[in-house]
Amino acid sequence: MSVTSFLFLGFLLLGLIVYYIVPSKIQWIVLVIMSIIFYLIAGTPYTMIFLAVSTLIAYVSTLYIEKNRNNSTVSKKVSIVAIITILLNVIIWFALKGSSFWILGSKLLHKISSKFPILHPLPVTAALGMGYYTAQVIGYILDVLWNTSTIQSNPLKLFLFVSFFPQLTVGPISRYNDLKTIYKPHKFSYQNICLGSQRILWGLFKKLVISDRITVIVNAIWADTNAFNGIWPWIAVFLYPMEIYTDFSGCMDIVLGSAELFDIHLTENFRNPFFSRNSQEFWQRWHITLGTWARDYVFYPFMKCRLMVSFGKNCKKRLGKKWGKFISWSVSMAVLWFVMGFWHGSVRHIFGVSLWFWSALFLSELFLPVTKKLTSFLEIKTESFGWHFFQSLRTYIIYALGVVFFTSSGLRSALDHYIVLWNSLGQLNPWTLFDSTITSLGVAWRDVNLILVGSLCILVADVLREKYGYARTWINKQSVGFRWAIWIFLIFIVLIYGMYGPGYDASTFIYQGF
Amino acid sequence: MSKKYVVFKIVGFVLFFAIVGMLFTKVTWVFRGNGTESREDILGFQNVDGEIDVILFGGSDVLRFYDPLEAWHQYGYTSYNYATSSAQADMLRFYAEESRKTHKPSIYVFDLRTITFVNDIVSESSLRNWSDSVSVFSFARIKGIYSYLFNRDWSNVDVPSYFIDLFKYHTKYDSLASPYQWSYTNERNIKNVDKGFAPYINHTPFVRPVSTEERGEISDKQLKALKELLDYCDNEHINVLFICSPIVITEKDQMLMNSVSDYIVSRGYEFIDFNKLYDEIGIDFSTDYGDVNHVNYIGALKFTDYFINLLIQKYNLPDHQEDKRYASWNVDYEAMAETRASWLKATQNAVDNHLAAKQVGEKLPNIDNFLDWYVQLGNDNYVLIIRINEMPKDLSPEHPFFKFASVYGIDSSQTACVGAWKGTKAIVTNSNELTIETKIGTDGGKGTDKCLISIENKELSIAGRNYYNDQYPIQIIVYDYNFKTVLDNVTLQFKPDEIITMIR
Repeated sequence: MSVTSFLFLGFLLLGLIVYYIVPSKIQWIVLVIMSIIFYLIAGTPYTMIFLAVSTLIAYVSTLYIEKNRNNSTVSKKVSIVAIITILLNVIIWFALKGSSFWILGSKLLHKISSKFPILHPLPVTAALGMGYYTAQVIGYILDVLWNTSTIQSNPLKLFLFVSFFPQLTVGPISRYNDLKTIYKPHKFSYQNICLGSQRILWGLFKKLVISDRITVIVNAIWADTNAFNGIWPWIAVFLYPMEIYTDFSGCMDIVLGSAELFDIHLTENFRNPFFSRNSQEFWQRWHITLGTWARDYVFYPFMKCRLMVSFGKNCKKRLGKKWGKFISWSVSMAVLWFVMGFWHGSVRHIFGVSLWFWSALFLSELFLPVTKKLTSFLEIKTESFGWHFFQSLRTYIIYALGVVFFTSSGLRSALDHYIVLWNSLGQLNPWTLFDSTITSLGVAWRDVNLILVGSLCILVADVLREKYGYARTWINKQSVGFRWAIWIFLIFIVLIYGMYGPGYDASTFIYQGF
Repeated sequence: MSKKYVVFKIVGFVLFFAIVGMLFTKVTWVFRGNGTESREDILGFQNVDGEIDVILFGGSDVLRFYDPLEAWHQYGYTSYNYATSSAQADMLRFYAEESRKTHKPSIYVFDLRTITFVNDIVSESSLRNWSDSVSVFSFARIKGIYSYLFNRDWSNVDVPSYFIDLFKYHTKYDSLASPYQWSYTNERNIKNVDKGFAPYINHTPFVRPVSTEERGEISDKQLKALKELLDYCDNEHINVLFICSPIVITEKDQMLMNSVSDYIVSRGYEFIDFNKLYDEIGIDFSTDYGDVNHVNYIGALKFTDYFINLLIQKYNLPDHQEDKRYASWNVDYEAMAETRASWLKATQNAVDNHLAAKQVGEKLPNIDNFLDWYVQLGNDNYVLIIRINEMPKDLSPEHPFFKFASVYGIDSSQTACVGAWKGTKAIVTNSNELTIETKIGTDGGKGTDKCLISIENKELSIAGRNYYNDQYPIQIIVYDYNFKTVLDNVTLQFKPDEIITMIR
């Protein structure tokens, strides 16, 4: 059951009715039942056992941690238990979702010596949203260990935290402290229903009207770069960030809107990433919950560990305060980005996410003093729109070139894409954008116009969001007629121009695979 | 939360969805892509002036066999064909329910020929021809779709797109250029001048089916459909006549209809099977049919006359011709005068053409000159079956045989060839291999006018009979496409002075 399906919308409606009819004390049980039903329909039913196992591990370990927290005789044991349980979760994830790593490893070993066998994927399907809930469980165990979160003593409630249905397939990666409201009674609120529905509608617009249309173009170009050469591979490169943004953030809007209907407010995962001035800011606005998760549970703990502290001191001693700090920061960032890439589950993502963005951040930090001096020397108005636009464009280009790894089926194919891009530099012919070439990509001019107008709508909404917190907040301040006109227009745009229904196989969400 | 706030919100909520609903209905009409014939018939029904006395419910055969305007002209009662192509019997009660929103006639006629189509398979056109011609929020429509789909195997069916058909049609942007699409946004403007009569103007001759009184088995699904329809009639206390339209009925279907008739009579209703009344209606199977399931216009004229008289005799139907409220019926009848004449002319031409071709074809065996013989054949009335086991040698490419052969794409370089051509258009050909199997003719859904040709070594079988003649390597069979008979069967012998001898 995809969150863009009619089945999901029907499921949501039915669940809402039951949720607000039952006594508020047992509303959370309705959510548990809905989450189980959702999983059974959307995923492979037997794999729910993995969610149950992760819940059980987290439940038992946090109970143990809480019980022995103040017992000085077993304080080391508490940390060991936490580490073991975290490792257990990582091992389950690694065995099922990270199979490409160990298969590749076995192949490399086999090349060195034929004594090592080539490993094959396990004959077991990974659980739905395994990357997301594993991260949540790890975060919860660490929060309890560090005493920044209370524990959940009801295993069924903990199971709900792990499996809450709207966020199960594509996140966001919620913190236990943020999601605790899920267990509280919730009153029916007309405003929540309106806001939630509006957000779902906006998400459907992004996904079905914009993203799925761009997908057709991008896929067609990469499928035949001989026919679509010259400027077209570059079009694919620069369209892909828009595709993945409208896909992922569209899905997030549906997820957050669905939760909002139940008066549950999940953490935002996007905040206008393409308005970022640099890659660092970009990753604070893009897939926010993964970034903050990696920062809080990987980067800071790593920076603060004894080994890194002494390494930092050594660096400062030998290279001076400035360079010592820089080296220590770079190593910690490398670990953070490795984990981010590793979480995506394949070697190409290690290159596309880890190596690429770590390099971008490393270089920008390295040359920061130079660029600062240069902007000052050239008297560039750094707060002007033009400079902001240039910086955002630069960030967009860096991201677009990095996520080429995402559009490829493997590392080899990604490298081929880069070769195609390099070779096509000498054959750029912008005129082909205006002849009939685009219609041979499986789209009509109508679709191109829709992408352009739709992107403009998204831009306007993002500007309003930047200014007012949410575009919806601004819309809600308008007169009834204007408000209704906007929503009715959007409803019919999605109904008419959405890529759904018989004859369409709406592509699954890009981030659904993690 | 003040009371005023709550009231405001409730009113706002209702108003918002009322606007969305209204716009949704309009947009759905604009995008709908099922046949315009169905939409015109169903929408036009609700805008008919005055009361309707008789409604006929059924499938495409109803649309073809009865002319309501002729009934108006002859006797002044009003009638309408509320029917859609491929309709199935279990849907007819929903047709009736929907029709009763605007008209409550004194007689309901249900054509149960449609019961033969009731099975476990979801036929998209069966359902959509009606469901996509009715207002999207009609309760009868929703019930009808639910009943149709969930009484069949719907596992591979896109269920939501049946209830909300915009889900299916929303990408038909090109059809928006058609003025028809936009005209449906104002449902009240749709007038159906022909009152649901759309005759076949083609001709296919048939052999009269053999009648039987044996009883066949009614399947569980068919019985359920029948029971529900009769229950509906019981509950609504409506005056009903059940019929089976005059088709080229197969023995199996006739046996089923006999059992259906028994069941209906046992429930206290009347059933008239017009397949038992061919003589009374005056049906001539050589001239009156378009295909196995439909009479043509000539047949429709005969049936309409018969049915009008039957209704007049059985029921006390009023004459509205002097009533001013029905003035538009006279206008519509006059408006169709030219069309009726063109229908008759076209149908008669088709019949005459086929009969003339048959006469010419019957004379073919008397022609001995190959050149005179083959010039008769280059039209769609004949199928030529050519078998060449061995291409004639020592003939120049200019030889009359190769001139003839070239019309059918056969050239002297081939070693062998078999094939069948309708006119000069190939149905099937096979060079160098002497094995083919094909079917000649349209099957009309029943297979009674289908002809299997099978050519293998030592066999040239048409409809099960072997016409193979191995005396000479070239054999040509002329087959009457319309009357499904072999007209001529010749083998060719070549002589040095370019003379071709036809051996029969």
